[in-house]
Amino acid sequence: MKPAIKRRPFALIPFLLLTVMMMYLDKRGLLLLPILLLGLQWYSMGAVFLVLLGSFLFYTRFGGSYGLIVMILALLTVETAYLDRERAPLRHYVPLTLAVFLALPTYYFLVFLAPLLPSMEVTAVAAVMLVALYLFIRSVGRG
Amino acid sequence: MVMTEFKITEKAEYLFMALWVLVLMAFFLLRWEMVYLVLPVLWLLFVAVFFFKPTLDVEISRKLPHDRVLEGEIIDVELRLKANERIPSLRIRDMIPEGLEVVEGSNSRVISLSKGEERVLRYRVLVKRGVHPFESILLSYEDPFGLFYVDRVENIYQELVGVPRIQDVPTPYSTRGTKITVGPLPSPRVGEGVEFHAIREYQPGDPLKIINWKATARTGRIMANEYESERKVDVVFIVDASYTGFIVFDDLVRAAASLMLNALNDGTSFGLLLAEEVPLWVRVDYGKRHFFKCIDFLSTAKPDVNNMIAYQVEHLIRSRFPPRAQLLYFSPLLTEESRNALKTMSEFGYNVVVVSPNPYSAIDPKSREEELALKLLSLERRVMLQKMASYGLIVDWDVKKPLKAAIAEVVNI
Repeated sequence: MKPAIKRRPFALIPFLLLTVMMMYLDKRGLLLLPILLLGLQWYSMGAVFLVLLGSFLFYTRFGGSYGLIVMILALLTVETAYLDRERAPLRHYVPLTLAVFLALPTYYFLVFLAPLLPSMEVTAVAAVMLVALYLFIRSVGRG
Repeated sequence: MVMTEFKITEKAEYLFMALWVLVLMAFFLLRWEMVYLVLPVLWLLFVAVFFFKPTLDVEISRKLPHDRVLEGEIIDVELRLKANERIPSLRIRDMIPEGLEVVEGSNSRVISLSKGEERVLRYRVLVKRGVHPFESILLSYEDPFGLFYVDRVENIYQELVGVPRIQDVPTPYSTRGTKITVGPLPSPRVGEGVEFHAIREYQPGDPLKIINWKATARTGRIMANEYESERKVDVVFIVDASYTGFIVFDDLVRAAASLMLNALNDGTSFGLLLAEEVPLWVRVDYGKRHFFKCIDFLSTAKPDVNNMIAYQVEHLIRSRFPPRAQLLYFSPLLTEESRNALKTMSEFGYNVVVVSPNPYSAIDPKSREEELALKLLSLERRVMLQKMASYGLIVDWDVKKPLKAAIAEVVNI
């Protein structure tokens, strides 16, 4: 008798989409996918993959909506794999998908807003963003 | 009192780390304009924090069937929950005391509750002797993405007392004891179960019915019968709680509780000395209420560091023990102190019955060497008991056999 596979396969959907998009992006990026395969089982490896993929995109200047969708699918794969492992209720997948895809309209909004905003020193923006990020993380940690 | 604590999970720590490294990489690789690639991570954190952070608004209570249960019994513990908000994933852990063993169900569950939903969770525990304090229930919520969790400790204190199991045992001593002579003073005891003691001269105030007319005719003076009331002996239970005998301590307490019930049924009055590090003395009294009070103390007894039992006994003999009482001494007689205590009791002229559970009978040897060691120790114990036999009647109890048989063997019932 074959042992029943209890693991849910939902993480494979964004994984396959990501693989396809990576093929069109840069063949070198495919070398990162084995790490993502490990990330399906261990979240820490998923986090490592996100860092490597982000760095790769920064380095190769693959940004824009295409690069953002790649990041979205990468995060979705890692997070869906976590829900699969936990056998979470199906309704938990919906807010996850919506949350990560909200990055897309936000990006378009920022793109739309950028010409209207006064030009700022990029380092100042970076510093403000770092401080904001730090405060956000602290507030989350403290509850 | 309720304590609530928000914490981030290990998973969230990885995600935060990834987020920071990505931002720094954008910096170091001079691609700051591409930092929008972290937007998915930020949105995920934002949604988790602002839409799935609960207040853990749950009402919870615990129900125990009784607060006193016989040791060895299995009881149902009920946890009743009512959610005042939707809680997708709630972990509940009832912090059960060490002395209890879960035999059915689990004291830890993960459930999902919708708003207003009520739920009853049950598990069964095996109760051992002693006081078992249920202190708190731990509630833990993890958001659907597993990024943070909320722990709440609900302090619901309840005590469950495991009462020692009581056996039917014969009385190993004579219940006829202290006589109270009905003297010249009027006594309420006159006429209740009295026995003739002597003839004396009639004293004013004596009831007329005690006048002995034959003796009056013979002596020419008004003579009266003197009675002594037939009173039961006072029994004092002395429990040696020194930790050296921990292996048979439960048996020791069971024996004391069984003989206490026997004393209650015999109508004798009894007191209790629980010789822990700080001795506990319950004065001699009658009745069921007194019995249950003593049983409560026996239930809570635990082996303690006590090298003072001889001193405690000597002090209480001088100040508290009723004269000519029957002493029941429960001790494995493992320490010099416990043996000295027995000698003291005997030296003060008390009748002592020692119920001594054999600690070596409670051990199953696992090797030939252990078997040999147990034999040697048992021989040593037998010699010691022979020496101590002059101080009291010793019931050497093999704890694998009923106490009834051990007592019957000694008192030849």
